[in-house]
Amino acid sequence: MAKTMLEKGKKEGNFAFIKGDPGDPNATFLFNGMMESIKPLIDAGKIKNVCETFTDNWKPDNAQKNMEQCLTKTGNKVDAVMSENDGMASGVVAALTAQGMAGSVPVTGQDGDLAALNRVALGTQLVSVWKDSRQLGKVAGEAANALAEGKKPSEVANGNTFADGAKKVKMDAILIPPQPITMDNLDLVIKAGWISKEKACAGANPAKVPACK
Amino acid sequence: MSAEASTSQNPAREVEGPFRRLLRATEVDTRVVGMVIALAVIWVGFDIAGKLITGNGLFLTPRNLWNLLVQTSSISVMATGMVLIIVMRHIDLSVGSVLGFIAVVIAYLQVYFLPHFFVAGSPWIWIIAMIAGLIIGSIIGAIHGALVAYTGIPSFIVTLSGLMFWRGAAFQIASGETIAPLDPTYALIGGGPYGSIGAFWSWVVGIVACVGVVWGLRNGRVQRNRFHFPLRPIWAEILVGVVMCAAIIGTVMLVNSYYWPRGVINQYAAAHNITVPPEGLFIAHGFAMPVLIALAVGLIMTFVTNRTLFGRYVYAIGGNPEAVELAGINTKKITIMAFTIMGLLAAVSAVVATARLNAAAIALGTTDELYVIAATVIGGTSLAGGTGTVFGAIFGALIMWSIQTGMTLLGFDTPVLQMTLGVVLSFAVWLDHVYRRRMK
Repeated sequence: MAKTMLEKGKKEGNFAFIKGDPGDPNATFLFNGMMESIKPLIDAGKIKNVCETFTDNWKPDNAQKNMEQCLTKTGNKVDAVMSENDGMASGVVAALTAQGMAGSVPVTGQDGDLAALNRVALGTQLVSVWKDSRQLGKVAGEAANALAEGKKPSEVANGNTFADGAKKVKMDAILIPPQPITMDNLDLVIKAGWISKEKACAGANPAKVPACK
Repeated sequence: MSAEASTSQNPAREVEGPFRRLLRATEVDTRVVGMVIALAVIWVGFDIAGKLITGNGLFLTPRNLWNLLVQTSSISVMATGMVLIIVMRHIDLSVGSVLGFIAVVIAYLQVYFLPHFFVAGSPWIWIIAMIAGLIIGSIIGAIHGALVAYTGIPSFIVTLSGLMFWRGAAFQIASGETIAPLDPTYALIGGGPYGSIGAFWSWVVGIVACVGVVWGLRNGRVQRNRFHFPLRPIWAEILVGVVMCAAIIGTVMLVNSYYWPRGVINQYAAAHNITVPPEGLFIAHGFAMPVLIALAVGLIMTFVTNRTLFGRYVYAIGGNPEAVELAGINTKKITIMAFTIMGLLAAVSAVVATARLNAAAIALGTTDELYVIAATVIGGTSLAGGTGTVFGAIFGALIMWSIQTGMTLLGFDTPVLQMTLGVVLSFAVWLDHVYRRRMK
């Protein structure tokens, strides 16, 4: 998410951070993950963290309110918004639309929400990080099967290990890389059958979005 | 009530100060004065705090107050209905889930179902979807009411079941996805620059409201004369009229001094082939649709509670349910009606919420029931039943959202905010309790 923002969105200016529910540790994990890429630029003085709010229950309407407050606070001087998921991104985009800023301010998200993929096509959202839950399920099922057949965990995972947890404990894991979806690779989700072309491209300009031609 | 009225007629009148005399003459509830003062303190306090902390007092700007009104509208619409429920010694925990369910139903009808029967973009699509949503909301409310009235299951349990059931139902219908985008005309109900009525119509609304106030005061005087009720002194009548009109005009001027943001002006100019003059183009927002809806609901609900038989029965039941039942009033019917209104209002809020977000997310309305109940209680409605006003509930919502907005502007994050709201809720109820004891 943060990498796509830096590569395809903005690499400097005023950033707003819309975090998830304060009771959900994922909200903080995601924030720390974003900060891994962004922190050096903040330290270098290129990026300024102008607003940072948690969002009760990850609710889009709360994200909308927080974004409105953020825009009021900064006098609309926000250059990019890091939203931790697609639902909240919908609230952020609604708040930006009311100020005529949707489309010119890049917004992130994740989940591959159908509505969010449409926003990616429309240009109001820069990226939605997509984790194909069907592939996730398939791999997990296959792994379960293999384990039931008596294979060792290390054999099932083909020797992959994960040790990036808080305590750096090594464990066998199959890691599926999440796929950031932007205007340029929107065809990935359409070809995968995750979303129909007409749904993804509703209202989009085919000249700008290759997948909608 | 009559006991209080007679004590104010006693000789102690000679020693009462000018402020008390003013209150007695204008017949303004001291609690209303208290709430107005509390709100003023909160607003000015946040503005000053903003100046001190961030060097910029943002709270008392037209933009922030305009946002505040829009953000409060959804909760205040539901709070006006919650007054009825709580006054009747019931509770409705399902409003947030009903809001979410209706939101999904409206969006589903609009995006997936009705387009099969109408040409794409036909206004009937959103009109039918919206009306269907309102009707279904009322039916849901009626079901809750009937369960409470006829089965003897406590309303807490009925609506707790509703809280679970309707959230699940919302997920089922939407198969877990956010439904968007909605019809552009429908989205105007949610406000924003194009969803506001502009300077001219805001003045029309303001003037009509002012005329209404004057007419109401005059009508009240005529009625009191007819039944030989004590009249307010004429100066008090004029004072009440002037203060209310000033408040209305002030609000109109406020919403009219929040201009369209530059980005929207540029889009508008490009779409209408207007060149923007170098000093900028100033188009006022005026009242936003959600605010007008909330005001209309507030007015209608005030009328319903104060002037209709149904409204008076609601208070009577809250005061003493057994006595009312013995007096031959059909309390079951009144219960069902109150819950039906609550369901309808949750649906109205669903319309506002979906239009504002231009999407229906399944999570929409989660925990709203708690904020609605908190707003109602902060506004002086007693959980013991029998007392509470629609006006108070709207003010309660406004106070709560002012704190929320103010703290966000100061840069406090949600956890601190939740802690503060928790303290405010208990503090407000404690104040109310102290006040009531003193009145006795």
